[in-house]
Amino acid sequence: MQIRKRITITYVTLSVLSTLLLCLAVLVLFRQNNRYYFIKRLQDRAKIVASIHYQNDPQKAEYYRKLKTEGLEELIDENDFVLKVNGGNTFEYNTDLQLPTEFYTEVMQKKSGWIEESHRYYYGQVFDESGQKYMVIITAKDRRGNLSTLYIVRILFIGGLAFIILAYFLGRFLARRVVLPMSRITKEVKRISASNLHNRLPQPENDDEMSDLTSTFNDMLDRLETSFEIQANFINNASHELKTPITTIIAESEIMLLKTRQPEEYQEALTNIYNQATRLGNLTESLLKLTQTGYDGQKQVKDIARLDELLMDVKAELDKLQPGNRVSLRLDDLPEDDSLLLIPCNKPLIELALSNIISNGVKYSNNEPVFVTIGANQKYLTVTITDIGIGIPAEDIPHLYEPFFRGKEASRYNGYGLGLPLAMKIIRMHNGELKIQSQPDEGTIVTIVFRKD
Amino acid sequence: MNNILIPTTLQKDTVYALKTALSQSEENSKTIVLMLLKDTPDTASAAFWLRDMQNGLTGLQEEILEQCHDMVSFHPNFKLQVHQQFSVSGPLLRNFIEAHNIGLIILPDTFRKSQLEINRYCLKLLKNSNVPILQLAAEFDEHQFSKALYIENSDSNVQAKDLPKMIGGHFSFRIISQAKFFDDQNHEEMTPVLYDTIYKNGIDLLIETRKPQKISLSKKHKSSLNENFGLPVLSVCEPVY
Repeated sequence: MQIRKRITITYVTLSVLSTLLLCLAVLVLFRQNNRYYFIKRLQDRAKIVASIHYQNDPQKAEYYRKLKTEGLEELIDENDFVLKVNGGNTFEYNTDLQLPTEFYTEVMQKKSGWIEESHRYYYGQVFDESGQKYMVIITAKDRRGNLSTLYIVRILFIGGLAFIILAYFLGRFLARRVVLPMSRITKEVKRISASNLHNRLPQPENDDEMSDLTSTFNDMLDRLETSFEIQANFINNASHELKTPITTIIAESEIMLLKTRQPEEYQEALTNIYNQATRLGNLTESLLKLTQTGYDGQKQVKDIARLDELLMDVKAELDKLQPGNRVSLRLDDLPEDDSLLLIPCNKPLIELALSNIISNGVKYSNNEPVFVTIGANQKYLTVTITDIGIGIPAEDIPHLYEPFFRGKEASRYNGYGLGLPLAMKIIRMHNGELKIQSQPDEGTIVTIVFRKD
Repeated sequence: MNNILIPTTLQKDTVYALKTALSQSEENSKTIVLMLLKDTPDTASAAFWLRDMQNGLTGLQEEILEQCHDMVSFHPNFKLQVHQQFSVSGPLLRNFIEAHNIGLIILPDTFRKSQLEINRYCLKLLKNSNVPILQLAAEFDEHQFSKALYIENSDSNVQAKDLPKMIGGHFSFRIISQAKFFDDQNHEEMTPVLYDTIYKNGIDLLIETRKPQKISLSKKHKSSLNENFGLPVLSVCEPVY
């Protein structure tokens, strides 16, 4: 069954149930109220009858009778009886009255009482007249009460029916309102396929369950896109990223082989080569793992590293490759609490990402100064890389994360357009976000924000 | 909260536990409490109890105790206190920890594996306390820790950056790796990866978090999966929010 139908049915059922309960309550209370006022009237009559009986004056009796018929509201089949009470529990019995003994007992004990038998009410009350007790019994039919009960039942029935019909339409309206955001998401999701995995669902502004669902879906798409592209571009990424350590190893070996050297020099060169080869090994392994698992974060042992140390390592590595670089790490704004700088990560990959972004800054600014700053608080860790370079035209910014994309200006420089897309994916895997602000011919500010869970 | 409790059976690894305790910084004076647990015989009268009660030590135990005293004598800021405890209960142990200002418990492997009922019961009570517990491994002679791996439980709220504060500055290691277990299956898949990380990163300490559990006196010693790596495990009690 469709959710929409289910919501409508549930809504209608609940409405019927609550309306039924309300009708029942109204009916019961209405009947009780009717009965209360009818008995009250009988009580008034009983007092009048007792008074007439006490005064024993035919003129007054006539006056009261007149008052009763003309002044008081008419009762149907009205009748009254005055029974003389002889002793504690005995009284003169009237054979016209065929009432159960319990009624008499109740009246004798409580001085008043009532009973209803087939819509006819009997009200009894004991009066004391100068030492002599009398039991006055008034009886009448409550036809109007019954009529009004019937009337109200009819109103409730018709009203209830109308309400159920209304509830059905309201239920349908409610169901449509509830399901509408879901239908919208389904429609949006249908548009996304392997060829346009970079599309995302528009995030609603409010903070409800649908917004949660949308963000969960977008996160899933992030992961899917990342693993999809990483798998598809493994060879490209591997060749791109492994090129640098291999170049270093070749250069180091070539220099060493130029002439015969001292053992210390060989040792130093071998240490360098060993370090680069280890880095190569780590990188290959990380990239392979990334391709195998799609990096869902579950089967990974994360390294806990300090962001400032990571950046210092990246800078040291860059110094070896480009000794004349003007990258300056600004670490004077670090928080006092060191633990704020800790980041659970895959160290080789995050170093690779940072290195790609910083060396891009160096490359596209023709070796102008590049500033790297760190900010940390309880919720975020940020790295800002600012260069005074050629900048990126606004029309190129949306394509920056597409593999092999080269901007018009950037095509004058060596490169393949692989570094930034990979860096972005690595950062995204680490719960981070990459923001690029750029002005052509003025420079670029790259901000990396890592969210802490 | 800077004193150290070592529940012991006075086997050889008590010496390692003591070495670990002594490797702590000596800035403040600390007391190391060696706690020996003894079962109380079920007796009807005091005289019977005194007759049945055996609180002597074996020759080897005496020797180990002497060695412990010798070791502590080289550290002027440390004091060794030997405490013999006859029977144990939850409130008693809690008050004991509070009264002695205990901030760290070091468990020698022989105590952890002891089959004596009182030792097993005490171990469970200790695990329900909120003091960090360092469980030493069987083959263990290292007493300085430098690199730690934090194994996070699936439902844990503790992050690696919060751990040093929770341990209370008792050690000077650095947490360099972190792994998360989602379920048992994941545990099996993770084990080879963890071995690999331990070997590659030179990990010498595992850190886990624990939650208080209901105490049952089963005979079987259920070893925690993290104890199977042959490394000391520092177990930190998860704070209740």
